[in-house]
Order: sequence, then C-alpha cells, then structure tokens
Amino acid sequence: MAGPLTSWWFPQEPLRRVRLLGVVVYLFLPVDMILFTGGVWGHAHGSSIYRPVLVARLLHLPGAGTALVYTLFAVVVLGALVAAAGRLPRVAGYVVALGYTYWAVLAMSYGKVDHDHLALIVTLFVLPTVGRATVRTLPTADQPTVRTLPTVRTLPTAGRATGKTPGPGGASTCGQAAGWALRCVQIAVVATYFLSAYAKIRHGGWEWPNGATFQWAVTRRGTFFGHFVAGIPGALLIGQWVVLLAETASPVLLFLRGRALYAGVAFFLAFHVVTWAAITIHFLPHVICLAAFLPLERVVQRARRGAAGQPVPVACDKAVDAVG
Amino acid sequence: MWRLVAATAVLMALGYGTVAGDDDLFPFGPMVQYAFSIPPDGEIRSLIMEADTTAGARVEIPIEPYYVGIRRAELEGQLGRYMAEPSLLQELADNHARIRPQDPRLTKIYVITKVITLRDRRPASAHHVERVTWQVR
Repeated sequence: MAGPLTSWWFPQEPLRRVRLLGVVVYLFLPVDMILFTGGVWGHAHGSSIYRPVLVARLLHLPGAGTALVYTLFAVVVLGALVAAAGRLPRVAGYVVALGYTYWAVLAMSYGKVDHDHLALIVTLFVLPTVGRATVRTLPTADQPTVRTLPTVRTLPTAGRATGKTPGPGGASTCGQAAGWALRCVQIAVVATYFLSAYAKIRHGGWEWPNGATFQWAVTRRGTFFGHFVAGIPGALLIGQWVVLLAETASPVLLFLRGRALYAGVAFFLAFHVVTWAAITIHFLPHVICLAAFLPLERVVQRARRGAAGQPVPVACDKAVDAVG
Repeated sequence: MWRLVAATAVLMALGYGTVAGDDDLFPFGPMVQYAFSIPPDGEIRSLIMEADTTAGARVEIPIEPYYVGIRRAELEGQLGRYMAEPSLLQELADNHARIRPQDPRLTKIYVITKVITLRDRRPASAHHVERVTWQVR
C-alpha cells in the first residue's frame, strides 16, 4: 500500500492530538447525555411511544426504562472518565462507543431523529483503535525537543503506531493509526455538511435556497436575535444561499492546510454560533469534532511554553522530511 | 487494511442512506435537518399544547422533556399515533405531575397546530387548528 491515496488516508499525525481530542470528547459525553440527548430521561419512566429505528429493531433493543437508562448512563460516564484519564483506552473506549451509540439510538427512537451525532459516534469508535496515546510521552523540559523528535518520529511509519514502540524520548509521538483516526473524524464532520446539502436538494428540490425554510425555523424557535435578523430584508434568503453553498464546498476542509484550514474551521464555527444565537440549535456534538482539524497538541504546548519557556516542537511531517 | 475496509463500509452505508434511505437508518440516514422547501407564500406549522388546570386557567404547556417528558419534535413526528389513540396523552399529564409536582395538575389537554401563513417569506396571518384533546383521568 503506497501512493497518495494511502498517505492521505494514513497521514502521520501526533498521537497526542488524538489523545487530546479524546479528552474533549469523553468529557463532553455526560453533558450531551444530560442536555442534548436528555430526552432519553423523559422516557425513563415508561413510554408508550417507543418507535425504534431500524438498528434497534434488528438487535431487539428494549426501549428506555428506569433501570436501563440509569445503568447505561452510569456505564458510559464511568467508561468515558476512565478513557479520558488514559486508562484502558481500548476496553473503555469500545464500551463507551457501544454504550453511547445505544443511548443515541434510544434518543432517536421516539419520533424524532437528530443529525448532529454522526461525527461524535464515529469519533467514539475510532478513538480506541489508536490505543494508548498517552500525554506523558511528550517531550518535557528535560528533553531537548526539536533535536530528538525526528528520530522518534521515524519509528511509527510502519503504520501500527500504538504507542507501544518506545523511542528515545520514551514513546512514539506520531503515527499513521492516529492519522487514520483523525481523518475519519474529519470525513464524518465534512460528510455531515456535504450530505445535508445533498439532502436539502433531494427533499426540498432546487427551489430550497429561494424558499422560506429559515423563516420557518425562526418562526418556530427563533430567539430575539433570530427575529431581529429575520426583520432585515433579504437576510434569511442570503443566509439560505450561504449555508447551501458552504455545505456543498465543505469537502475542501479535507485538503486545506495551515491558515486556510483554520479559516475554514472558523467559518463553520461562526455558522454554528449564529445558528445557535438565532434559533438555539447549537449542533455541539458535531461542533466539538471540528477540533480534529486543529493542532490541539500545539495549543496545549503553547500554553505550557508560556508557563515554562519551552520551545514548540515541529509538526510530524516536517520532522519526517528532516530525516528523510 | 481493516481500517480502509471499515471506513469504506461506513461511507457506503452513509451513501446509501443519503441517496435512498430515511431517518429509520440512523446513524446512516440522510442529513434531513431543514431539508424541505417552504414556498415563499407557504405555511409554517408548529404544534403547541394547551391545558386546563386545577387552578381553573387554560395555559400553554411547553412540549419539552422537563415539562411533559417528550420533545415537541417527537410529538410532531408521531402526531398520527396520538390522534388515533388520544389516551396516549394521559402519559404526558402523568409526566407533568411527576416532573413538576408544584404546578397545578392538568385536567384537559389540547394539542393544537399553529398555522402561520407567509406572504413573500414573511408571516402574514396565523390561526389555530385543534388536533387532539384528552380529558385527563
């Protein structure tokens, strides 16, 4: 396996980035289960309107009940805390992935299916595949960072960088397993946008951007800000065009780098902020997965450098270039 | 290698759901949030719930999990079921009594569609249509 497609699917990325994404996502889960898929709690005391989606029917999954909801919540939250702490990343990770997916299936099995959970569910399933990407493998103040890293980084190029191959710095820091996991999350994020543009045309027809769908949204659940925007002539119409075009163009996120990429991510973040302010739809379970596009490890590193006066390590591919 | 196979399988499921599937295929269904057209002179429909209470007033009750145990979109998604079997609304009254014990009890529930007529993408007029009612036991 070689070639540009392989290197695109399996880029060298810092294990630490995956680890940090995991911390963010795992700690987010309890919040999601209380607030965003919190409808499940409403059905915990018995509900006659269980309408299981296909996967729940195939697996004969029972509907929400007090014991099930409390147990599932406890298992997922406990597993998420263990995984966030970097313990048992595979076992805890898969337990959380399966448990949370069941929870999400329950949330969607009472008459309404939401569409902001694809990236989150994909993230939960790819995180455990990376294994132990521990925070502690990072170079510290005692280890000269820039000089040792290139040697370390040549280790995981075989593709199975699970952190079990220790380098001179104590453990590997980059790997293709990490790159694949991040790529999957990125694709899920982009798919959510791009496929929703497709769905708008499939179900709404080509007249969608010229219709009154945003007025519909504001009328049903608009905030003060939403009604204010709706009052500006043409604002919602322009908004519909911008959203449709942006969603259609979203796959460019997969090919941009550096500032252009960050600008793209910032654009979609701004879109979600405006949507939240106007109609209180935040899409947060999806939004946090946008973090897979960002160099999280450098953000943390920079914060630490600010405290300890350490240099920032170079990115994976640069280091590989330096060696090769 | 299994990684490529897994990713391809998920993408294919998602592709199928997007092109030919519906919400039932969650999490591989089409991303249909706001994927419908409202004509500029069309109508906006939303459900509201009103109730007579033991306090003697008729009030609007938000259709939210922390009021009646379900989301508005869930009631909208299964409105046909509630219309065929109004006694399902009893559960909402029971939930309300359990979740908000300090509030006056609901004695009769009215599920109403609020219809707003648009003219040139702006709300022009509104009226209510009663869909289903239930005398709480």
